[in-house]
Amino acid sequence: MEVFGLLAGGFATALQPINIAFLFVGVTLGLVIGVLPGLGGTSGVAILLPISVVIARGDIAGADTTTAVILLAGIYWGALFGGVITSILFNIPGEPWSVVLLFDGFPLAKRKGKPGLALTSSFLASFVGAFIATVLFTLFAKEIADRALAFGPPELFAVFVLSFATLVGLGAESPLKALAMLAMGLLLAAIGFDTITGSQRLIPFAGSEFEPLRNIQINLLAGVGFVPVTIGLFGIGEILASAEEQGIGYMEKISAKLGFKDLLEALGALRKRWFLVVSNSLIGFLFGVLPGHGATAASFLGYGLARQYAKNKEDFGKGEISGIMGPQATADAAGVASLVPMVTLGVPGSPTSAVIMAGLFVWGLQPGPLLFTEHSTFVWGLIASIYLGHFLTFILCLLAVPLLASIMRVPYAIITPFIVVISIIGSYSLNNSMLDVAFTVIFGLVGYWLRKMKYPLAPLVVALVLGDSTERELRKTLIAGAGNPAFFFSSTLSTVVMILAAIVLILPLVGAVRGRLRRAGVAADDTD
Amino acid sequence: MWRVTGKRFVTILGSVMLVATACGGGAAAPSPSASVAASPTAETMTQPTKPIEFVISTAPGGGSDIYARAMAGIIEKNKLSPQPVQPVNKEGGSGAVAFTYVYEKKADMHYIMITLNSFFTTIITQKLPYKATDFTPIANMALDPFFLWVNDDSPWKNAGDFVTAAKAGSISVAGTGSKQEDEALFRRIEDTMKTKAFTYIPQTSGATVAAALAGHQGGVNATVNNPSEGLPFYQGTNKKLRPLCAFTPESPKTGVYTGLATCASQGIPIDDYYIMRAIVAAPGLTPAQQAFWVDVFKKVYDSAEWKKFMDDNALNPDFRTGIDFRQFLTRYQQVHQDIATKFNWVQ
Repeated sequence: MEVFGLLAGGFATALQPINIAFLFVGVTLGLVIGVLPGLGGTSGVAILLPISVVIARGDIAGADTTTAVILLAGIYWGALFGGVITSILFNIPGEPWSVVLLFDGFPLAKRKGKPGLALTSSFLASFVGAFIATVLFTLFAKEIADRALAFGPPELFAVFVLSFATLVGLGAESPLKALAMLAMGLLLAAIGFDTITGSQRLIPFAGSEFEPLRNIQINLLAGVGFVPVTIGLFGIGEILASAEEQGIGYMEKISAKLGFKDLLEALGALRKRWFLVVSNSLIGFLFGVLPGHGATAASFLGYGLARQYAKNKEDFGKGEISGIMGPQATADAAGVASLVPMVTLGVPGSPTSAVIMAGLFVWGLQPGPLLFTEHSTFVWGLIASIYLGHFLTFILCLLAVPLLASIMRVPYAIITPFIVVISIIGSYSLNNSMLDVAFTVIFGLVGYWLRKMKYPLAPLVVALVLGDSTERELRKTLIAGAGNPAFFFSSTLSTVVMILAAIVLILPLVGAVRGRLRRAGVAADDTD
Repeated sequence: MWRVTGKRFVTILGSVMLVATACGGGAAAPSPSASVAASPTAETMTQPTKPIEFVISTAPGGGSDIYARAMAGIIEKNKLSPQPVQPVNKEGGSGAVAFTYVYEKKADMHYIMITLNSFFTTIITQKLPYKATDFTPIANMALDPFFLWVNDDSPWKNAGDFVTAAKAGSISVAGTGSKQEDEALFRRIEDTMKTKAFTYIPQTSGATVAAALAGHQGGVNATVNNPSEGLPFYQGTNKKLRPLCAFTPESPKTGVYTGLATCASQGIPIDDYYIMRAIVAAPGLTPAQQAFWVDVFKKVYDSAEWKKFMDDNALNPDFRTGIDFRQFLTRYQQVHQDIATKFNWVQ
């Protein structure tokens, strides 16, 4: 087949010493950027853009635009893997797409005392997800990207409804409390500048004469970022809550076994969940190809689906491995897939791929269908480097697991101030804005209080992350359909996804009603 | 154990910060002219004495971001500034965050900004407490024309067909944010040609606008994308879109769009509307400080790299500075003010 010849050529390009060297630099930097909260893959790639220009220009012997794109994409792969490390070990998200890993990653590491297993499972799922996505990229990039174009507002809205449907009942001992948290999340998501009407929403201090207040108003236009909020809710909130519960001198009981046993256990877990990981990777790939929706939204859908497939739904949120592998496979597959529309259509699939695409423009390349024909070496070198980059990242991560896991054995009193410091630095480095730091501190206190009151945090985070996009697609659908609700079902695709969402919503209710009837029946039998 | 892990993390943190500063700040080599005056005050300073923030009002990867980074690259490569010029993204509020940020750096020559038409629309519709003309004008670097785009298989063969259809019923169109340049142009067409009101579906970026049309997303049948945004869907074997006409006084003379009819020649008399790709600085710079930046951007404009960039992206070369640029800003401010008033954009 022609494609294998081209891919072989791509490997020949990517395996040149200079390209391998920059790939290694890229993924290593990406891992470090991923670990640090706040500084994300998107800004990491943006910071290295000037360097990539120098590389692409050919100032370094043997390097060219392919080397430059391999470096930038490598940062993305490293960050996709590395973001989870901080989520699992410290309960603060290293990257936007590792927010969902807070739900089960940290509980498995801390409450169940298995940080090595949590990390290894996540890396394994990342690798499988990325590998499946790269194979699809290699074989069907153009066809899938063309199909993805038909995905408009009604279809996207249906997918978001499905995401919400799969996540309903998350962490809910009390449905009303979950509903309250969901509403709070949606309300927070609504704050900011509304692009549909071009007006400001829920922003105080408009037109204030007092400069600090005016600055708050202006910065709120960008909305309430979910990363500073989750750093506060989970990271700071957890520290306050556990300091109170266990006292400062408390030490974790972390299992002593490290290394290969974790890998074997994770492989065993993967074998049991192969269907989940493979299907989530496929869904992640399809989601990632859609222009403008990257790994973050995909990771939530992946978590919701993992929970739907599971029989032990009540274990989710308490350290269930499916809650780590499911979203992680989806997120990594979506990350890889977000380069597909960039290469084939000239449309970025995610914020990070948008920055890589800016690089292409600045180096003098025109992203789009002509890349495949006019810059074949570039495209196939990039594709081959995705395989190599993920392999390299996977090995690096596995080697680091014992060391990373041992951090959990450090006395809590020593590690706590450190977590607080990186939380604050992390949220500041997002936009160099003190407002984000204020959000982290405020939501740290709010998170502590919510824990005490036994309110589930997950619904709030889900609503805050997905609320904006869901609302935007809903309103675009309503505009396009001139307010006619039938427009939600205007295509087969949107109708099918909507019906799926309805089934997912209704099934647990049916189950509950049947359970109640059965119990009533048993009770009736007893009275006989 | 703690010591090892702690040190490790501090090292990581430190090394990342080092990398960040090295990449951002260390890119331009220090030039001898950096040490002209010992410690000039804000007024007497005629050269930047610390790194310059090149503020961008869109997210990384957005339209202006690409232009700004291309210019920063040219400045760096040709050593046009004694201090490094660092692109800084201040997205949010359709530009309001960035504009306000630079506005409050009054009389500080270390803050320059790339602007497009949101510089007028956002300031007007959000009633911000300043005007576009309050900033120190530096230069216009290019004009990005608008084309009228339809799907390749559309029955409309020219602008006349499009207008006839638009008079018969509301056409669904896509564009970047609400009350921004794309909508401004569609509302002008609506107003000039007395068509039915367009159903305007706002998107998040220029690239997704073209994709929305290519996929007929939500029934979209036309856009006014820039030439560069439509290009990936126009070139190659898998053509999906085609331009009907250009909102320019003359047909393009070079590149893939050579010979494309003007909209005016096909009955839509709009030929004076572009996206400006212009540079402004913080308000209140002295004439000498302003002259420094005008000189830098003149050299950028004259560079071979910028010529190639304009060519690749089908931009109209258009360098304006001084009184000419000031008049241009005043005229565009009026154009947008009129549209905002007519369509009740300011509440």
